[in-house]
Amino acid sequence: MCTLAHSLENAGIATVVISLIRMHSDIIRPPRALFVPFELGRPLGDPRDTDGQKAVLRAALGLLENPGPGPVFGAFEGRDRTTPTTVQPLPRADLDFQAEISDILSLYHRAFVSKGRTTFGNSGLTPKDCCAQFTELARQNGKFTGRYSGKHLRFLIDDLKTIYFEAACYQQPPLASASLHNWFWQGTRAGAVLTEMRADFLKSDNKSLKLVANFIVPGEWVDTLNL
Amino acid sequence: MAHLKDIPPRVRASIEKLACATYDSTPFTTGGPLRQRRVAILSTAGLHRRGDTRFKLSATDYRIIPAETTPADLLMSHVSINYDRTGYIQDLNTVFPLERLKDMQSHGEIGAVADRHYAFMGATDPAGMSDEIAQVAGMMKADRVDAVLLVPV
Repeated sequence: MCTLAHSLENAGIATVVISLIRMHSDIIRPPRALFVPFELGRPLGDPRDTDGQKAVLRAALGLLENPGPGPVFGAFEGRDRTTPTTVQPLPRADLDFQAEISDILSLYHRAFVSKGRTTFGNSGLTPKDCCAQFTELARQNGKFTGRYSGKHLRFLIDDLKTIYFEAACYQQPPLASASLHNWFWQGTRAGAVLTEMRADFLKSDNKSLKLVANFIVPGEWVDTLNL
Repeated sequence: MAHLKDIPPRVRASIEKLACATYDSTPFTTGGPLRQRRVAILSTAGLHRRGDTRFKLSATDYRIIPAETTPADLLMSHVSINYDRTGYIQDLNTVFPLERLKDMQSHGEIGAVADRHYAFMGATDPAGMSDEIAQVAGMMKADRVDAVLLVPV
């Protein structure tokens, strides 16, 4: 990111970087950077915090009015305001995977209708077909037929997580990432199926499955769950 | 949370060992007041319009995001899973603040929002993106952009 800023500025276009990793900015020394205290993945701060997002933008873009010389660095003092909360459990606590995924799909559709936006779609499937394909994979119980390419599996799994997270956010206040990830990886059957699938893929002789295994469980949760 | 001490150890280790480019000097382009600037966003979140080609592993290419693109039209195919995506799922402005820039334009805080914005896939070494960033710079100049907000993920 900071390297791209050097290139654009050399082309005569003024830049300002929102910086999540100060260590990198201190080394690369882009023309202007605003250090923000937010977690990776949330460079503008909390979702639906319109005022907070604008405050970040004002602080960042305001650096463009500093006459220099560069680098001109600033620090944004705001902080995450979303409070970790417990995501509401599913209506039934004794769901098997098939029942859980069915309930989640129903919630996901309600969320989509309510919001008019979904981030589902990289698999090229419908949400229903995504769930069906994933359920079929789970039933193979470690003996994968190789019907799907590694790339398809990667995006199938991404889209499945999207269905779960969008369902969990339905009619909720803005949720902290920790709340959603705790719920998904420790409180859902899908999380358990994915951790088992990762282990199976890692043991597989299929190089493509071994590669996909690295894109199933985030590193933080590989450590947390002692996988 | 992006203080290194708060980042999970496995992710922190990869951040700490990432090779960063170093420069003898820092270029610095000045311009007019912010209320007259035409602002474009350059994101490295691997965003693209629904129907555009997804980003591949080690991709150096980019996608153009027209200013009229709605949040419902954007997807993310960044290769990494080691950052939070639930903020983006709840609100695109968490990673790509196009609507917030439009708010600022309507209140006269910036001059204009550019016609086109750009997305790369940030897990790739930017050293391999020199041709692509030169193309982007050319398109920004054609669009009369004089301020770029670079947003990581």
